[in-house]
Amino acid sequence: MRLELANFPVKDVRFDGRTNYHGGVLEINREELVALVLEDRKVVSANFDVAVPGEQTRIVRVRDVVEPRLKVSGTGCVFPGILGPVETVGQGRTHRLSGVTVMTSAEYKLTILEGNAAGRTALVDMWGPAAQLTPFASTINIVLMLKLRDGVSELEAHAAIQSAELRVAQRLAETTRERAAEDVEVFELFETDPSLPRVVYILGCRTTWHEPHSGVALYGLPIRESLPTLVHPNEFLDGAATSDARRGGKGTFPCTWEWMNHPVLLRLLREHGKRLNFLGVILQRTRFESDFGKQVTAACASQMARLLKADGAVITRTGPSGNNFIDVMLTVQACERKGVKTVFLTPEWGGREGTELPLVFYVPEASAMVTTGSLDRVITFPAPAKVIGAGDTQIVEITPGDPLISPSTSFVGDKGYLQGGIDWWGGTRHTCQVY
Amino acid sequence: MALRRIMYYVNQFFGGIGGEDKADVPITFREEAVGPARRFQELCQGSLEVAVTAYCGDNYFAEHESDVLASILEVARKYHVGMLVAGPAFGAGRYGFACVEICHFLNISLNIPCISGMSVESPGVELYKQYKDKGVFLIPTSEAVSGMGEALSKMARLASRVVKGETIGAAPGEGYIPRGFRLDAVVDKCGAERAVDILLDKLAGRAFATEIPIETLEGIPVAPPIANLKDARLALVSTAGVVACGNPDGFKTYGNTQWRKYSFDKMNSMKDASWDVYHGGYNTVFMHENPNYGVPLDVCREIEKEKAFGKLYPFFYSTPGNMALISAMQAISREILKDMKAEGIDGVLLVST
Repeated sequence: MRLELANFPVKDVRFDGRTNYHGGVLEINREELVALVLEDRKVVSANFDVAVPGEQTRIVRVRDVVEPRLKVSGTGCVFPGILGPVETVGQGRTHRLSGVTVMTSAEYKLTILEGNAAGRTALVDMWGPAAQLTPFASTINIVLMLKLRDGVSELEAHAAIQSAELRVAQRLAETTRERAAEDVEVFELFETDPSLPRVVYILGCRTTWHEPHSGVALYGLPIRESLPTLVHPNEFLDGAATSDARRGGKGTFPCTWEWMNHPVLLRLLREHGKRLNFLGVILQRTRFESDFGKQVTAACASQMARLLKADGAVITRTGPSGNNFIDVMLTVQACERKGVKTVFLTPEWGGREGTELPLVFYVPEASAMVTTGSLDRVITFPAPAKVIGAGDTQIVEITPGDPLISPSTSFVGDKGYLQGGIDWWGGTRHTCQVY
Repeated sequence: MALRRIMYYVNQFFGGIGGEDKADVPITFREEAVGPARRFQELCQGSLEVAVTAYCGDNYFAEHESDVLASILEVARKYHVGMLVAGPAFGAGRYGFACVEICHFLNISLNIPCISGMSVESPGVELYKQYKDKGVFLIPTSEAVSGMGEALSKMARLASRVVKGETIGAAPGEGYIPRGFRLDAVVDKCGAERAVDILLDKLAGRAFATEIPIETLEGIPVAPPIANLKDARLALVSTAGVVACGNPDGFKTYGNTQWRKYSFDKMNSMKDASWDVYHGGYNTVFMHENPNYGVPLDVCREIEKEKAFGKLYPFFYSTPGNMALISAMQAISREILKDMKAEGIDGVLLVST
């Protein structure tokens, strides 16, 4: 499977004329795209705005972010199973509008009012201390603002938000179809020097079977109580994995953009044939409800690594749940016991001052760990010059049930308030050091 | 830059008074650099000056700790010292302990930096890790006094930088013994690249440095069985986040630091009253429909009638147990336990969520 990812960088976005990409400028016909979104009767109003890096803008009620990509050759489409039939993707040629996102800010009437299954929102600051923590302060964000009609169920809300953002992204990427790419990067797990170390990536993703959307979907199918699945890394680059579009919030779930620009996948693909032999991705659903389930997933994921004759595994997780964390640590242990050496990359806890233990559960085999910083630290969010978002932007709920925030003012919050604020996959240069 | 005046602390041996036979010598102050303080001052090359040396017998310190600390504080104030340097204590247990106590006390009392040195095996190090004072630094030294020269050089180098107001970085780079708190930092390579580098080092058998050390968590011993369950008074404890209707106690969906107990006296099921559910760690829709999942009053009443145990305590203890700090939950459990002892509770059913 050979995938050419053709890059079309965006340096400016204008709401002007017809929808068009030329010379790094993306022109958007607002009326055309609003009409596209309103084709879905679950959406009662839609609008667009844009936020650029460095300006004192805060985007609120963010629920998901995607990168505009278009399949121009090869099987399937980008976001298979959602925008088209379920066909295995990851080969042929895909165009990407880089440096730009479709960031969806949506408002709807929640039917689940608290707990983990409730819809959540996040913030993005384009400047200030919070901008250092998220990839979305460095991208031009085309903010799609949606209001859904009353009476939608939670799963319908997810489907409406996701359908709107993916179709807008697809339409924008369509502008590149006949254009020449600035550069093309090729991703392929070709036959390579057999002496290179064989490395697998065990990508732990926290999902919950009993929520309206489990949190992560593969080919549009929410991953519920399943056992590990073997996936080619290129599939992720074509949008095979998507997130619950209702729950951008709390930085706790990687959004769709992060699945498409996965830093560990990209690093391993780029090292393939040079320093290592990348065998593929074991997508491991985690957060089993019993110790028994945790042991079964750990046994299966490590067995899959052994059957692939892996020498080593990179292991990551998503979600701040301590329950979920145990599944991942047991997987580290099971791999090491089967002779597959591991490195575990994770953000840590540690409390606001860093005086608490960094992790909640340890196994003696976890001898190599990389930290991407603490998810417990607080940030002072400064007052912005402009607030963008769906609905009333004066008072916003981040996590249902917790105190409301006033986005036009300065307030104290944690990294989880930010879309992409917690670094699950090592995309940032953040770490923790002992003092 | 003006000379910074410091206080130096040594024990009776390094103060030149004598060995174990002089361990009862009371705290004494001399307005000059004594013993290792002299060499330390030379090594600092004029960046600071020892205004006063304090020395005290090891036993005297242990037996009169609060009095000794009070007089050290008084003298430190009198001389307007900007830093305290103590030791190095090497492997000496009582001396190392005294150095850490004095550093901690002056750091929190006067907000001045304090530097000492000792062997990483010294019992003082454990105390230092408990205090986690941002302004106290211990330099690792040899076990034996033969390492004096090297220890004093390292302490002087660090002291000269601290005195200039330089920011002291993370422990591995700076060479002091980690106090144990962890702060965010930005490094040259992203996490994904560091992870691949470490994995390749590990696979090739090269040395690598983990970024999170493995900790050994204290095991929780299993309590002995209740001798006479038939007469026992049992209580329910739940971390499911079932709280009074309207959440009058202001529980959060995560990171709680408090607990409450709520009465279910005369009820046969949690469905006999209205409750709220505050918990950000699971899908609470089911708990709203039937709070007996989190607080199994219905079943407990049935088996109470069957006399499986003596009596159910008429309140349940509650805190939403999601993403709370371990220290906060330990504090909550201590408080709950105290209340249970006062209420004569013999056993607890702790419901997992």
